[in-house]
Amino acid sequence: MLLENIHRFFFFLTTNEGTLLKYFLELTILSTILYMIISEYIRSREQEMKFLAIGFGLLVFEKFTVTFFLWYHVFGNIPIYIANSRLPLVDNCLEILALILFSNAFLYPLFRNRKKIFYSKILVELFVYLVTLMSVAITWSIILSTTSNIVNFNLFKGNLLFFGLKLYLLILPIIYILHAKKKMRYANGIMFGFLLYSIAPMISLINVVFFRGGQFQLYGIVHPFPLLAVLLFTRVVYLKLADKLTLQERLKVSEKRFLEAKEINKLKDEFVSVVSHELKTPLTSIKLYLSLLRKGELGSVNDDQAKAISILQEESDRLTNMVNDVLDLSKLEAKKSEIFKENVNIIDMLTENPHYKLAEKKGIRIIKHLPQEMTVTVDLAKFRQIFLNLLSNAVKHTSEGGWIRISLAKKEKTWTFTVEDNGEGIQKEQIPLLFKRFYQAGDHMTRKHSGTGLGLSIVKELVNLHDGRISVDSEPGKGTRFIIEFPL
Amino acid sequence: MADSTKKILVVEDEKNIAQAHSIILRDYKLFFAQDGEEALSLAERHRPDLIVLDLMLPERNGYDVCFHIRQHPELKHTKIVMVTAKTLNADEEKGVFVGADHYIRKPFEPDELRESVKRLLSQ
Repeated sequence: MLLENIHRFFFFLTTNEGTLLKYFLELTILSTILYMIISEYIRSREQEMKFLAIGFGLLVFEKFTVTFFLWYHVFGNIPIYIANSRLPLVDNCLEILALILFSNAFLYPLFRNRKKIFYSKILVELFVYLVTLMSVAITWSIILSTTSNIVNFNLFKGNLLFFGLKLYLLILPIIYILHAKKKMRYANGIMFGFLLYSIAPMISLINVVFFRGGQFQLYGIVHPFPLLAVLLFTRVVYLKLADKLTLQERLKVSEKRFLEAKEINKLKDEFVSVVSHELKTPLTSIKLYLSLLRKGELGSVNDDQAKAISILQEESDRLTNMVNDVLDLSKLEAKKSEIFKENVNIIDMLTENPHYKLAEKKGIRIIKHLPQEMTVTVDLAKFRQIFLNLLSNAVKHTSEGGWIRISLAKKEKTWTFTVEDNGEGIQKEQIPLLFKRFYQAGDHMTRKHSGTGLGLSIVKELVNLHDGRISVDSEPGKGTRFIIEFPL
Repeated sequence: MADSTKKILVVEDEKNIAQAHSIILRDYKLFFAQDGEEALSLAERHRPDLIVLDLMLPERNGYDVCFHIRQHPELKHTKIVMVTAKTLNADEEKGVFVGADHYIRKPFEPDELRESVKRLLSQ
């Protein structure tokens, strides 16, 4: 019973009405995709969409033409049996042309960097198409001139060429995609679509070759496959478009985030600039008046007063340094610091006496292991900052009578700068934390050293700016050694 | 010795710092302006030999004032010492670019200002 119904259904598909129904369905689906593709092309102006639009456009044109004629045959009361008319011939001509463009449209992403090959492939296929068309036309006219009978187009050998060409056009993309599967999205869907589509010409070919076109059931069975293939392609195109939409959404979101981050950064910069001004203005006043007082420019001061003033000066210096540290670090973090490398002899800077005043004041011996001259490529201002930070750090952690050794060494591809002391040293577990911001070795509640704890993080940032590397060697009670390696 | 006939225009919106300037530079004849506009009109009126110019000013900033003075046919040879709390190297470059003769960062020592003023005026 069921089998009989299926048999009837396929027979129905071979009739004018059945074929019209099938073409009508295809036309509806294809028009929908075409609309989607064209609107996407208008929006994005992408080559891929252009090719898909042309390919699907031709397919729609083919379906429309055939539907139009079939409509005319079915509802125009002209009793022509579709299988025996010239319509399949026209249909095939148009369908193959559509196939050439449409299969290549799907292959376009694979040829993105080889456009010449892509266009020549299309041209060759169009040429083969024309040759086939001509040979079909010639055979057709010969047959027409030699027989007066109604030509059975299914037996007609021209169809053989058509089916062969169709098969070739449908199988070739599968081979291409198999070769470059990874480069393509939805490769499986597209391949399966072409495979389904190719079943139709395959069955037709079998029908013509083995049954001389006489198996009408086979003729009917052919019909659903292109329809299914078209449905698959619709899915692929829909996914492509949906994909683009989600990508656009994501792009919008990340764009928004980027703008927000930029805004925050700008606020931070403004904040830093304002703070630098607001904090430095009172500091400037304080320091100016302290200096004037100390020098007796505002009247004479006695010894006790002078001592008090110098304590005030020291403290205001400390405050200034802290403000500068915070500003330096925020600038370094905002990557606002630019590096101006130059070839300089760094010995001069390292032997400037004012740098060592603090150490001398504390009774610390400075040992300089420096060559007479050493020229390196460095941002001198930043190197000075590195040096002064490490030096003041060493002075801070070395007790009276201790020593600090400064040395330079040149290697094959690098040069190293070492600051070593025999101070209190650092506990092993604290070494990794040294370069963290606001970190100071030792308990915060019992800290005996002043400072922001920013010095070493600034040093690290500055060393990073030079593409250098900083390492620490330390033993509690024996001393600490900071080694910085710079590329030459 | 400082030359008391030399005229210096101090452009500083912070009263306390301006007051300190008046002590540091007391050997000279001083004028004070609190913003950029006032600085320009005072400069035109008194033709100072040197201007001590703060960068962050209300209305017109120091760069702007400096630039205008350098454009002015009769004022363009006035010495300019820029004083600022900004610390970016780029700021310093910009200051020199618009034509400052010297650049001092806040906070500074009285002698630093005194020395540079003396040096510039003796040139």
